[in-house]
Amino acid sequence: MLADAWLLVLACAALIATALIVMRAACRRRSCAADWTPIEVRGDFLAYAERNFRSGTGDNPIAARVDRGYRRHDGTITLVELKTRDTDRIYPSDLIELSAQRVALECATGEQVHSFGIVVVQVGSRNRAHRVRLMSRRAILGLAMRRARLLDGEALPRPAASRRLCAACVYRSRCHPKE
Amino acid sequence: MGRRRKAKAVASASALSQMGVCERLVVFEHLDGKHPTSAQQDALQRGLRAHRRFAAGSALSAGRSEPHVLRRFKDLPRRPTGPGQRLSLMYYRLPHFLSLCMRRSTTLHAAMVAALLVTLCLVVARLGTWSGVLAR
Repeated sequence: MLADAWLLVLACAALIATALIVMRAACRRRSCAADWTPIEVRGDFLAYAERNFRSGTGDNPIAARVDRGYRRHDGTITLVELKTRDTDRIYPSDLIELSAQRVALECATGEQVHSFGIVVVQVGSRNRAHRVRLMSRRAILGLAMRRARLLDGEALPRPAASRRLCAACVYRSRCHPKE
Repeated sequence: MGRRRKAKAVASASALSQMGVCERLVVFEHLDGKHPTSAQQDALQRGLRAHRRFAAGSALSAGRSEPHVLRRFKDLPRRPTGPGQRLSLMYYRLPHFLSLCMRRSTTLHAAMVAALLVTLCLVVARLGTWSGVLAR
């Protein structure tokens, strides 16, 4: 009888914990504060806002404008990027942009930037924060090198991964002349 | 030609992000310049306005030192000695640190809530036993 009661208590605790996890996930997705600060960086110090950085003078230097950079208690910087969209979703281009910002900021200041960043998507009047894992420095430098090769005409450019992107493109007739 | 050389010299983060959209578009825009549609221009203006508000929000609220100065001023007469002030500082910092940890880890959050609930149940059960003993 007592064991059954304890099982019931544990089951209730597990149920409440699951409900809290779901509520927490919904809360994390839901919003930022009135000052657009995502939950993940609330309480951290705002170190950079709308600042330009440039990664040295190597073969492929990268310049970036950081929307916001928050310094955590351990000294690492968390990058926050704002996007205004019609739908609440993030794209690979957001990942690349934040990762490029990380490379530029790390090279320019020598500070360590956190391996995840936050994309705040503004849909109408609502702001939702998405936590994303950033690409490696090597991947970004490789991308910059490929871009340079493309602009030099040394490599063939690939088409868009999704044909839906082509619908609104002004170069569609040149890119797909048979259509 | 000048534009081409400049674009090659420094790659901006937004230019690199275009590589994740379409490489052909990157090349076309490099050769012919940008020709945004009216919808894209509207979106650009909307984005600029949002960024201005974003920047204004950061300037007005986050990272300000006034709350900390006020807190120190408020606690000065209460805790005039060094250990007292350290205790006061710990009182403010510890819950802040714990709440940050719990915010960042959903598992930790859920585990702490579950542990608290189980502890509460244990306490209630123990009190029930004692009340039975006392009644006898």
